[in-house]
Amino acid sequence: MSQVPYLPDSNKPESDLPPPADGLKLSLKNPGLAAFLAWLLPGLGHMYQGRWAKGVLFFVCIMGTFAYGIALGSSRVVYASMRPYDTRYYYYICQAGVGLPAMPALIQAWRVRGEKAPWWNNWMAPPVLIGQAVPADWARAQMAIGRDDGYFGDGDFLQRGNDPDKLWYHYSGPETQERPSFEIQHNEFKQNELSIWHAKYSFKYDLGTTFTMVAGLLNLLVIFDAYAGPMLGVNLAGWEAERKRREALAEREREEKKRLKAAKAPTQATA
Amino acid sequence: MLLFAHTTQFWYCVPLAITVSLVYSGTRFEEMPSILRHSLRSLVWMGGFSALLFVFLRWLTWSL
Repeated sequence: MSQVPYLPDSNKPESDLPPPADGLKLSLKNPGLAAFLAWLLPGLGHMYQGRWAKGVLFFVCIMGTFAYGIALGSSRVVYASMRPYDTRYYYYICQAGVGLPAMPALIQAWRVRGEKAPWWNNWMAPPVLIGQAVPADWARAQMAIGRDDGYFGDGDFLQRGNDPDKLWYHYSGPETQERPSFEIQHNEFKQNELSIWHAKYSFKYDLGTTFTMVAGLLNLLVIFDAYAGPMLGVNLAGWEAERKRREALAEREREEKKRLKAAKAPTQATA
Repeated sequence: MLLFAHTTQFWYCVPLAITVSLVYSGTRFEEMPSILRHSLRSLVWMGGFSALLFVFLRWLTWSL
């Protein structure tokens, strides 16, 4: 098993370093900075500490889970919103654990709150609610995409008042969806864009939400690992090696005793 | 029959279980062989426990 040497930039005495795991001594460099980097991008904190294998493992696992969640239910499974009738922000608290990859949602929420059009082709933008004012250009572009490829159809955004640059959302689509069960479950908010996503992606929207949330929560463990080292202070691998060493020693002692006994036996017989 | 209608949805648990066991083990050990060994053990535990739970719930709802 390879030994990780103390890094020269570690100013901590040996006794202050984290307990050994797998028979190794670790230098966590600047643990606070490592924890921040681990939050910013999964695995980055470990790469900064020179723990490359674990850094790559965490990056692949957590970003893979996050990306798979988005692939299942579109980028809209991640959004930040604290509006009445749209209380999914507690999901976002979990998703924000992955750091930078979930940050576009905050920018989009800020844009939508200011009645501006979301950026980046609506990536991680919150859903449009009934009565919400949106920029007229953006609304027309959404209606031009159509219900088949997008989420809105003709007549979904109407002018209200004298502001020509603003349109208001009001659902003008069919009352019932293709699947009758959809209406039963989502009848109370079927005109909300969120319910359109649910109808379009079905259970995959919930799965996508779950995957992205799990990715964020797993990264909390990774942040802790970057800050304080492996959770297991007990050196299990070392214990196993020590157990085998002691067994081998005991076996050697037994053989030695047997050999001595055998050597004594003919001497006693002669005497 | 209702169970089999949703069987394909169970497969989504597999990548999630693999990821969770790998990351969890990664935060307990430092060396890759130990991580992989512990991860495999966690995966078997997770799968086994879920299977036991499934059998128990199936038994409870057998007559429903």
